Amino acid sequence: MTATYLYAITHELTDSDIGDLRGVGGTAVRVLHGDRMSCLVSTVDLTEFGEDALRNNLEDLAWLERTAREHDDVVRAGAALTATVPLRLATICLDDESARQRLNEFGEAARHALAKIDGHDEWGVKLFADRAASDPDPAEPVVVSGTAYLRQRRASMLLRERSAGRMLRVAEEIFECLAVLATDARRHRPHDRRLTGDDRPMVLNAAFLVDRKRLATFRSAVDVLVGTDCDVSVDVTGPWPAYSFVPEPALQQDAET
Amino acid sequence: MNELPCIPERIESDADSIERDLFRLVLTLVELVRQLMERQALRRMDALDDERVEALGTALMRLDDAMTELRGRYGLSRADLNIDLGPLGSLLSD
Amino acid sequence: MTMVDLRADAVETSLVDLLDRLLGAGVVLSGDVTISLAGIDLVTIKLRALVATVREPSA
Repeated sequence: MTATYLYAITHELTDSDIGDLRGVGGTAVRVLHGDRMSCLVSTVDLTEFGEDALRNNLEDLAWLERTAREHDDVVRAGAALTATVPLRLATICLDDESARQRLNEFGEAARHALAKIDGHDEWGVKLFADRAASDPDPAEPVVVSGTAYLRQRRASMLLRERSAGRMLRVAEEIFECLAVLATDARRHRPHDRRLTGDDRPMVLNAAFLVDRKRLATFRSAVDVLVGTDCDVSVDVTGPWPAYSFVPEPALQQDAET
Repeated sequence: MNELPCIPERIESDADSIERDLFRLVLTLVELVRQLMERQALRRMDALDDERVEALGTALMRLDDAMTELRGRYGLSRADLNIDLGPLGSLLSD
Repeated sequence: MTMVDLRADAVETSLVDLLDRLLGAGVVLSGDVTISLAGIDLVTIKLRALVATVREPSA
């Protein structure tokens, strides 16, 4: 039993535009045609992408990573050709016919998204608080009474909270400034340090939709803003396809099967 | 989904490292509770009389010393216990 | 019109950054722990119950 896996919605494309593109599980990628837009799809097996199978597979980190990258490869191939609205991982329809139906239901929302994304790329900006700002004072005097211990801990905590508060304000300001230079901006959840393996707390995890013609300005602004605060460091990633700027919920519904 | 601090989802152990891994897990839990208790104490201390503050502070200080000693047994630093009380947790904890 | 090369081999993407974008809620690590020894699950610890017993002071 098979189903149709959807990767992205694009401006009109033909099969010859995408050539021999491969997607999830090595499946061949095809173009479905809709009203003034196209959809990149693959035929997938329900033994791997059916509801139950998916539930298990999504918990398997190796499968998840492989599939995520294969999905991303297809989306990027589309974005290299034309305006592309990426769909979430595992957006699956019963078959091509219901995929076309879904495509038509998206209709205006999709075309609007395509128009907005056209000529833009997504850029990720992650800000980290450098540890130096929040390290406990190594020369803390030895305390002899319970009261002194609590007082010292409280002073230390207040210092850290103030530092944390400041970090949040700095992150907020930088976000607002960069948002002005972008067509759109949104925040993601900061990464747990266990995931990043980075000791520094992440104070901002943001995505910006940037007009390609304004990229140089945007990049310079990042450098300047981060440069003015010595307790913050930045990690810029991109260009990404506009994953973070797909309108919810119309285009983000889960599997129909 | 709840985001809770510090514990990896799966700890793969072989017979040799399981003791250390279990120890680290237990210490992490204890450290988590210690930090939460300490934060509560710090918030309440102004409303308590001097005697209570001293008693509370002494108890927490001894707990902190005990944790330092326990960590030392397996060569675990504070960072190894990897407490992260939320996105800015590390700025709000030790 | 210049086309930007977005192919994955042109950029190195971290898995976490990718999952932020591909999954609904990003990557969230839950608090349940399973310790396994050579693939056999030994202990499941529910942290929620533990943390719930430590209540925040009322204002």
